[in-house]
Amino acid sequence: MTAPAAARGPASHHAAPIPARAGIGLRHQHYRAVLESRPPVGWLEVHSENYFGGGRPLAFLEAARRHYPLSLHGVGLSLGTDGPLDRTHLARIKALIARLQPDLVSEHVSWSIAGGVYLNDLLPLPYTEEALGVICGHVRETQDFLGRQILVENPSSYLQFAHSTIPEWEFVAEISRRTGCGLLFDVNNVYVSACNHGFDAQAYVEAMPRAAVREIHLAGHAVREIGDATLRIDDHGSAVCEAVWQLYAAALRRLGPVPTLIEWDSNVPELPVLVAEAATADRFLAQAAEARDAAAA
Amino acid sequence: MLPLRDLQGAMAASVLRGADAPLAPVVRADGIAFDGRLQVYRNNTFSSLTAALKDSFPVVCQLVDERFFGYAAREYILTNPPRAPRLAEYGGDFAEFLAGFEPVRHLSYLPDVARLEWAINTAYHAADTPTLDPARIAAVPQDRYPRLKFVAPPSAQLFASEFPVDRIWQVHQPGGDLDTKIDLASGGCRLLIDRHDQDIRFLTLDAAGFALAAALCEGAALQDAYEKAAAIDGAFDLIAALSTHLARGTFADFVDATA
Repeated sequence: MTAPAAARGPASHHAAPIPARAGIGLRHQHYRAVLESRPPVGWLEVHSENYFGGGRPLAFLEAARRHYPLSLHGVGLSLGTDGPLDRTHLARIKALIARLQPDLVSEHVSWSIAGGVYLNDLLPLPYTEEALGVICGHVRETQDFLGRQILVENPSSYLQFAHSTIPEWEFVAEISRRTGCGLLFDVNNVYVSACNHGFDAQAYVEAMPRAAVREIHLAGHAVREIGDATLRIDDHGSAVCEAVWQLYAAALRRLGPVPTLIEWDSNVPELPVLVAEAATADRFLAQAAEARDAAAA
Repeated sequence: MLPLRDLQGAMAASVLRGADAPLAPVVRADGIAFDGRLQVYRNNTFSSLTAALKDSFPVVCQLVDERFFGYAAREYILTNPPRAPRLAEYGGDFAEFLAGFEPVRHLSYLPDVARLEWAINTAYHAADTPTLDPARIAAVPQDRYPRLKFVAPPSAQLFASEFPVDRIWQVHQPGGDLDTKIDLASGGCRLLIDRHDQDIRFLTLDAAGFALAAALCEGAALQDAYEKAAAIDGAFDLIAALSTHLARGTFADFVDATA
């Protein structure tokens, strides 16, 4: 294997700032449709790992990048693993950043790797001082290596650890406070976890440090019955539900207009469905901007 | 309290091997039993990895049907879980796994279909390189040709099978005619697979042409590569073969080893 394409060539894009508008997660199913129809969305986000090899995916992304500001969202760094970060992985992210000049780079408050095996899922951390120390160390290492700020995203989860001592919202906010990283506030994840674990989603919103939240995620989730109980599963496989839109509105009331991404990863629909979801988010954002301006006047 | 590293090891064992019991004391039940909660994570890992394998091996999936593919994928994930957080690299030994997988032993061509799909996958994700301009070769004095060495792009891969897997693959593409009967004994195939602009291409080669292409892609000088081809076919037409490669843009570059 020679060096990945991302490692070669001069940067050909400006780091266009991501506007406080709605964007969509670009997936391979929509490469052609996005290039051909150039939908009226504010920005695009992709999963960094899908572009490490270069080749055809990167060619599509570079073409799309000419028309939209970009965010790189990583799913494989495993910031929460108690063990060394994968330096090869970091180097590939850095090369991709140099190539694509994204305005935002993000990862997750979770872990995916243990004992050298990659589980391809975002697994939950116990909310302890020990885990906080591990993930803060890795966020610092990542920011130092990349020479820039990253955002970390609050997780969705299906279990809680008995030895957790810190509420999740405090754990997430504390990572930002200790490392200077930004936050990617996933409203659907808050809703899913709040329902699964019986905590107050509104209190979570209130606990988010305003200045640190630089991006919001919205997605659909599934509802599964297990025995007599209900578990919400964060599958990104449907439209954003009404309760999540309401929580989003509450988040915007507290945070003001923040760049917002529509994510859809399973049962991926035709592009216009995503674009319509983004238009709905844009209406909420416009209201938030009006409220902000009215308050300032 | 379970140290984080031990907790993560235990959770990986639960996800991959169903070893849930050690986590009973640390997972809160809250209306759903601890193992029911762990089952969600197990499902996520197996279903997402199965989907990734299906993306990389769509024709294998069609050949064995989706249900059986899910079963085979599960067995593969159990024995060969991903070692790197890059799914495009996952599945490189799936063909080898299928070759040793008892339930598909009768489908002797199946591992080769998987190998072909992996070669396509590799070409799809390979880095881009410029294409060698034939005019640059035309400008080289003829007496230096024997020592020329060519540089293949990262997408170029040589593929040979004793089965007609190229035709099997072809009829399973969108719009392909699935009613086509393919005689497994009708002969194998030798291909050069690469990506040009954004399209995956197959170049069908005979035994001598394959030997030439394989030697050149490995960096052999033109004279040495020709001798390999001529050993198979004494009448091998080097000029025609080289013209074909240059016209279609098989190579990214060349080196004049005379200098």
